[in-house]
Amino acid sequence: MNQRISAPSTEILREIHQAGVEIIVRFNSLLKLGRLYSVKNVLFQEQLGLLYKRIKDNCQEEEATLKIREGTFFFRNVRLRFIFANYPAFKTVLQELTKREVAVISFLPELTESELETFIACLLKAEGYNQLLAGLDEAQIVHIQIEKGTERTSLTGKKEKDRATARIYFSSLLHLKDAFEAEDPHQALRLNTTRRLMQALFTHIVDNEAFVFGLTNIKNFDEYTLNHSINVCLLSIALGRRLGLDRNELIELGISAFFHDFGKIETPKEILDKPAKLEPHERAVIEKHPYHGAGTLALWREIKGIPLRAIHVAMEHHIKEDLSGYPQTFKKRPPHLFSKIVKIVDYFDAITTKRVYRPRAFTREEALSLMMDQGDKEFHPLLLRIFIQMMGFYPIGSVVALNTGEIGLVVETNPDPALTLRPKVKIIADKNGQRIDGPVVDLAEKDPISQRYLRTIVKGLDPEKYNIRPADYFMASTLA
Amino acid sequence: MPNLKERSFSVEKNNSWDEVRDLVLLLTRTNSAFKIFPPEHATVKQFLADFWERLKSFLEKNGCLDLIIGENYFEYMGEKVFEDADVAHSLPFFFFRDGLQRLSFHRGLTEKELSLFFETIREVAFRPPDEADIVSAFWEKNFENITFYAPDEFIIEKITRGRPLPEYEVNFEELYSGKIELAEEDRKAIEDWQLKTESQEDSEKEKTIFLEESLADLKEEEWRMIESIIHSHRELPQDEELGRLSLEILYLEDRFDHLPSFKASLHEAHKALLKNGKLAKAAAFIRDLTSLNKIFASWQPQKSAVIESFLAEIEQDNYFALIKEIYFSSSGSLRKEDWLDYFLAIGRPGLIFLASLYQNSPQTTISSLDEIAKPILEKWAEEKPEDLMKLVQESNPYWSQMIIRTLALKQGPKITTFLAGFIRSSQPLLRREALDALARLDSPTAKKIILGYFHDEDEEIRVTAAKIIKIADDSMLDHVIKIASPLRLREKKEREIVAIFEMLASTIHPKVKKYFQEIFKLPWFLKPKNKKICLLAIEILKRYPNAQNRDLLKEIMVKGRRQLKKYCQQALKEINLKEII
Ligand SMILES: [Fe+2]
Ligand SMILES: [Fe+2]
Repeated sequence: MNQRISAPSTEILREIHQAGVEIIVRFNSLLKLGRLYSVKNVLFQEQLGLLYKRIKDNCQEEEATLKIREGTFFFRNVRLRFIFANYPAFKTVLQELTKREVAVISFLPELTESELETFIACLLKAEGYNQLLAGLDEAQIVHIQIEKGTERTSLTGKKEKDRATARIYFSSLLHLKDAFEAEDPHQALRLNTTRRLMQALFTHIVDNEAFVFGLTNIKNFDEYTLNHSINVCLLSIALGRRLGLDRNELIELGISAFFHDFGKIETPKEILDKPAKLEPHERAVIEKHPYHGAGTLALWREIKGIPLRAIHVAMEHHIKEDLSGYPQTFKKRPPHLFSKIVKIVDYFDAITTKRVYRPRAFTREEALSLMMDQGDKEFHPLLLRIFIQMMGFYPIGSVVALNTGEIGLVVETNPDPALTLRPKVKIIADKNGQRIDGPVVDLAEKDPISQRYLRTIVKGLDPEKYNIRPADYFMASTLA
Repeated sequence: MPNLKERSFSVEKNNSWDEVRDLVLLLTRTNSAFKIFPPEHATVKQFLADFWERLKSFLEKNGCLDLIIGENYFEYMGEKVFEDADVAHSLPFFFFRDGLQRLSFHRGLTEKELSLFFETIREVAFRPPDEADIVSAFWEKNFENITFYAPDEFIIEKITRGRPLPEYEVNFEELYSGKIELAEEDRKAIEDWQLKTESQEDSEKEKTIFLEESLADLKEEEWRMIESIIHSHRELPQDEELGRLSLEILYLEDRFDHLPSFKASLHEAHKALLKNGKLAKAAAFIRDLTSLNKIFASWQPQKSAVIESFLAEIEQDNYFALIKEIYFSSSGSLRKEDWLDYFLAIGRPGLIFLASLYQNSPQTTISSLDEIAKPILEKWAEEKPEDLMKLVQESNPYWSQMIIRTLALKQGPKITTFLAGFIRSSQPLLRREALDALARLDSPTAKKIILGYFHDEDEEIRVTAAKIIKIADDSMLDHVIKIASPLRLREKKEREIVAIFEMLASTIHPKVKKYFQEIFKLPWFLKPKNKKICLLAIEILKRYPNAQNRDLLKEIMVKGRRQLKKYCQQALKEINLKEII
């Protein structure tokens, strides 16, 4: 019986992992180059050679497979963990393959470089799985085999997908509301459900991140704290994902962010919503929410299976990087990584939200530059930078004036760091200022003749000033 | 014609249904085996191996086994391939009730992965119903070649419980009609931009350069920093963190009605440390709590009360059960210093635990306990000797022995009285230990108490008593002489007689001389025991050749019986010879 060697050494596993990551990165470059140039282009050929060599090294004796399972890549049975540095490559390759429903690619030992070249060309051309299959068949590629994904009942259109994402968003809100409003905390905390909810949110973030970011523009829906907590939860998971946290950690991060302001149950509404500056004694009451939340979660920790990290986050999300902030206990110590992540996201969501005591919210791009200006005292500088990169210079939901005179709403950031100023925008007003249900345009798109960009952002606009509610546009797409 | 490029999922329908049916039946049976037997059981292994072989060959051919899950059935490509009349106990229902709708096994599946799959089911099946969720469990395992699908609707229904989802209203009118009048500065910005279209891209480049500082990719070493932060947080010991957080919460908490239930959290944190064998950390936890207690005493007495009640509860049985388990299962892997540290930190319960460990330890391992107990007992002996005295138990002799030994290092009437109590102990070990201790005490009372030991039922102890006693006054001497009466001597064995004679022979007193004179008068005829006693007396007098004893020997040599003279003469000769040498 030909059984595979059961346990490769960690050294070998590390090598396979490295090869897998490199293959994804090169694959991404090739997809990008393939769109710009012909496959005979020098740059393309150079990358192709490198990719080919890497694959060949890995399929000398037996086939090497690259698999996608639930949004995770496996190469030769090794799970590939990505970090932010490779994030755009992972995201693009994942998108390109799932779009075509390809779940497995197997490279056979006899693979030739020209087969690989043809394969990429076919992939670029094909819109769906069957078309790709037909293309490979026609080109008689025999040493690369593909398998179709079976995991999810794939939602056919973007609208359906967005609608599903929005449903889970509002379910989260209801779930948290139940927790906040229940008389008996024993009834209130249904962690099994929360955990499942986080898995669902994670899946939507993997599948439909731009739209999820769009939904985080929903503010003050129902109750501020509830809505805020959902936004913080979603953005924290997304940020954690870029840091390379694993799936189970992301679920815990999600739960932690979800309950970060749980202590506000105890804060009187008159203080929470006071339309004026708080008196010192009122401020003191607000500042109790971290340890009230942590205390309540700690009481239920064992019975309900509340992650310890959730208690950390509830307790520490207002502690600054220089260890000032609140609450202060008998010992100063650095907050947990999860608390630092939630702190950044919490701050961002808070200052971009209009409140009775904050009649003008910061726009998303203003918020980011304000946060950047805070320096290392407030936030962990590297985490903040990754957050800013994730959000992009014009975060999703930003309203921008275009050089064409049109007004756009950012709906998707450009994963290429060099093109961060060129997101995808939905045109919401034409050049005369007429509000329209305009198309989504890619600002990276150039005029094929002049090679000039078709549209460029002149400046960000304050949506409040023009009575534009970004969230409505995202929701509209799910309702009409 | 089979397609080369695609590994087809379509089964050749005619002959495959039966194959899939068999396969699924095998799946459910293997699952049952996993539930009945432990994973290492031969039956389980056999089932697993068989199922895996079959499944593997199926996957080789077909790529994937993709099952749709119904309430009590599995479906494969639109056909029911398994159905169980007993819905509630069926495997499909077990999946179904948690919202699992689809389960797929993919080519590449390993036996190990498959085994983990069944182990996961088993583990979830044995959990209490409201903690069990097979979907979450599968999610956590993140299998490489087993995928599943549970629709959002399941979780949405769980949340809404029949209520409608909150509705977000969009006014489409407002959204897509009407005009936006840009403010002056915004309009001007666009116009300015349009005027300098030529240099548009340049200015963008400038902006990008400006952005680069904040948006630029992190450098290699910055990534390494992030990774090391993540790594160090992964390694954070949960139990220690829990301990620290509980203390911080206790410190801040101002909802005093929560405090009594918060005590449970303190116990949880404390026990978590113990369970993981982190005695030094548990000790630090208790010490921190004790110092918080001091802070709270005057400031927030409610919290002090909670802490004190917590500390008192450490004495309870459930803790001891835990301590015992850790002590005996660690088999010496835990450092003695840490045990010591912990027992010192918890105070009185530490003594109780130690006592119980002594009680439960086999004799062979007692010495390692002694090393832990010694410093602790010394500390208590210094601070609260009375507490220690109360902890002595007849039924726990080794423990009590340690207490006696420790207390004996101290002097004072209380100690003497304490030790005196052991004369009547049922444990020879304790009587003996107390005797030794009494001998070391610098007190006449102690010496008198030792006399009591001459009546001990244990010969060994009587001999020891005779060896260590120092006759201090006439009344003691009278007592000893009474004990040494020939009548009683005849009942004793040689070593005890020797010990008594030695004690007397080393005491210079007319009564002693008289005593021996009486001994030498004992008749020998038909009384070999008397002869033996006399000869032993000569032997001992010889060994202690003081003036009194020499006189005695000379006197017997002259006046004594014929048979004795010879022995005394010989003894005196030996004494002289020794002196010359
Ligand atoms: Fe907060
Ligand atoms: Fe918050």
